[in-house]
Amino acid sequence: MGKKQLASALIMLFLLTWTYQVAAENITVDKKVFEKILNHQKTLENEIEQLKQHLKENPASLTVPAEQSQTEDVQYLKEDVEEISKRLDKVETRSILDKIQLGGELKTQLESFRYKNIELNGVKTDQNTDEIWSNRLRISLRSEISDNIIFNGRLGYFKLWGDTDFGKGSSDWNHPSVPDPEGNLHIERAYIDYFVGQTPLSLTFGRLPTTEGPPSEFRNYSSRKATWPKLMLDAETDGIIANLSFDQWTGLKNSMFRAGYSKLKQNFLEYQGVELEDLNGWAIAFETEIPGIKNSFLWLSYILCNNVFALTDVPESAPFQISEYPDSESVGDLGIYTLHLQFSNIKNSGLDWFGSLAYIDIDADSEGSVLTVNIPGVGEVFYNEVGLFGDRLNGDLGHDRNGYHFYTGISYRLPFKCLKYPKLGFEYNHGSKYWIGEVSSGSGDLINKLGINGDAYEFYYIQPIDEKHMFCRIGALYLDYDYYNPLNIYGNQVKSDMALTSFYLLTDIKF
Amino acid sequence: MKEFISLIILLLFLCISVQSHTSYAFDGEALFKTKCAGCHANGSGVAQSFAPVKYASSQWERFFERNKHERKKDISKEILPEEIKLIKNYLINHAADSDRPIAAGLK
Ligand code: HEC
Repeated sequence: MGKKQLASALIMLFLLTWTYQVAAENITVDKKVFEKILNHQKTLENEIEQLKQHLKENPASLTVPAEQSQTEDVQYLKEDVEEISKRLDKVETRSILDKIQLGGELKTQLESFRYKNIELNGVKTDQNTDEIWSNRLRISLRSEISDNIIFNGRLGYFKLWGDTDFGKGSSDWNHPSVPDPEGNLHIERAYIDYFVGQTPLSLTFGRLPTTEGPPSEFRNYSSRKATWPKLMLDAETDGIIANLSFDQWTGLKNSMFRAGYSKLKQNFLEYQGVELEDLNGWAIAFETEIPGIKNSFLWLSYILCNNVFALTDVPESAPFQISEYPDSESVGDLGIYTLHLQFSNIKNSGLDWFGSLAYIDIDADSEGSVLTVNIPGVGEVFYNEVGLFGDRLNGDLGHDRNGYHFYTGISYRLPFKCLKYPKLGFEYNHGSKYWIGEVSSGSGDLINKLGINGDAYEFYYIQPIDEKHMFCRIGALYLDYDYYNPLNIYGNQVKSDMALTSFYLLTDIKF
Repeated sequence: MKEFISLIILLLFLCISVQSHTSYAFDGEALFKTKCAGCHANGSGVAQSFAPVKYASSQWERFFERNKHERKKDISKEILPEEIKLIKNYLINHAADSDRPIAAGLK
């Protein structure tokens, strides 16, 4: 007997007793009817008695239906969990096999250049380029091979719109069928970080993360993206770095000592008697967060490059050619000392500041590349001999030089929430007469302002479009040259009053 | 000495800006390292240590929204809602899918 039946029996009984009373008080009832009712009541009482007895004997019977529904639920849950874990297994297998995480960044940029007093074939003139459009794509790769071994890579593509090498028969139209170096993916980085057991030591080797280092992150609206500051060396380097984390021992946060070795040029033909000296780089560096100053970064380093290569190419328009190279095609050694300091989001004010100082110690050889001119009827005639920042005609071949570069800037996050906190920035840098611009040329900008022997000013505004993924930057750049050497670091530095004004607009999307 | 004048101007600006902004007392990272890591430390016997990259940002979002920690351990007495907010911000900003810093030897 169910709960429901019991309830209806009780209700009936109640109604019955109630009518009985009512009848007794007010109405006279036929005897037959009364006996019928009385009998009915007796049956009901019997039934109730039976029910009570049943419940006494089977106290669990009341909850039977509830228990049934619960087991049903549990059954469903079990089925669901089984199904979910089956599906999760598939997902897990997939994610284990997905060995490489992919990421990307696309930058599209419009620039204009206005040169004043640019020297072309010995004549000073002005030159304007109103628009230069370019695309830069970066694809980043990461693989956590094991807890201790991590691979990082980055492929890059950087191309001016519509700039193809027609001489090679390739253009944007037929690119899919004709390979063209202009549009190829290039390997910017490919390195392994190997963390030695539970020690604070790690080794990084391969094509290293050494381009667009601090303080590029302020301008690029990103986090730190390379090992060392731009002013120390901004170039793609193949090499090996040993990193020793100091956090545990000294309590200095994010502190690291590094020692690196790299080859910027390698003579793989030595066995054939080709006498070229390798251009090697040795670096030692220390970095740390300054105690008590959150988001600060201090960097000190020294890098020694020996056997800087001699002049081997001359501009097409030059009236001379190279007829002889110095021994081993090397013109000297250089050492670069770098001090870099930066503070991000100082005291949560939204203000960033950095200051960077690099000093180059140049040890020049007293030999250089011999330049000659061809005079009709006479033949090859000596023109000059050029070495590292010196030449034979001036009598300063082999003179040692010092150069320095100073780079500083601020950026400020404007407190406008409705505009997604835009940023304003200003940067200034000065390169001395014997600063070697090559040191900082890997940033992927069309104009390498850190390569200047003179002053450069840049002002920019960053408008975040999507706080994490997309921003626009609009900026103005002014470069005021003190020296400009068409032969780069070879021969005497030539005084220059050239100036360059550039405006740009770019949008950058990370994904 | 143009460059030194600019430098001095920059430094002046820097000092003024720093002075004019009141320092902040709360810091998500510091809170995470003191409060959460108080229990979450290997060898502590309470719970395993973990880094913000344990989860992606949307997973951290869900973790806090659904108050998932309560099932494991009620921490509402140790950590105030205001502090939880800052810690949540820190974890999301440093989650697995955040713009992580890159340099040799950084995990
Ligand atoms: C009072 C100690 C204590 C504090 C404080 C604490 N936790 Fe936990 N936490 C635990 C314990 C215990 C577990 C369960 C460990 C286990 O299951 O092995 C846990 C588990 C977790 C898990 C794993 C949850 C899961 O579903 O697997 C996460 C994530 C976590 N805590 C985050 C935090 C964060 C973030 C904070 C700071 C806001 C915090 N915890 C503070 C004790 C604590």
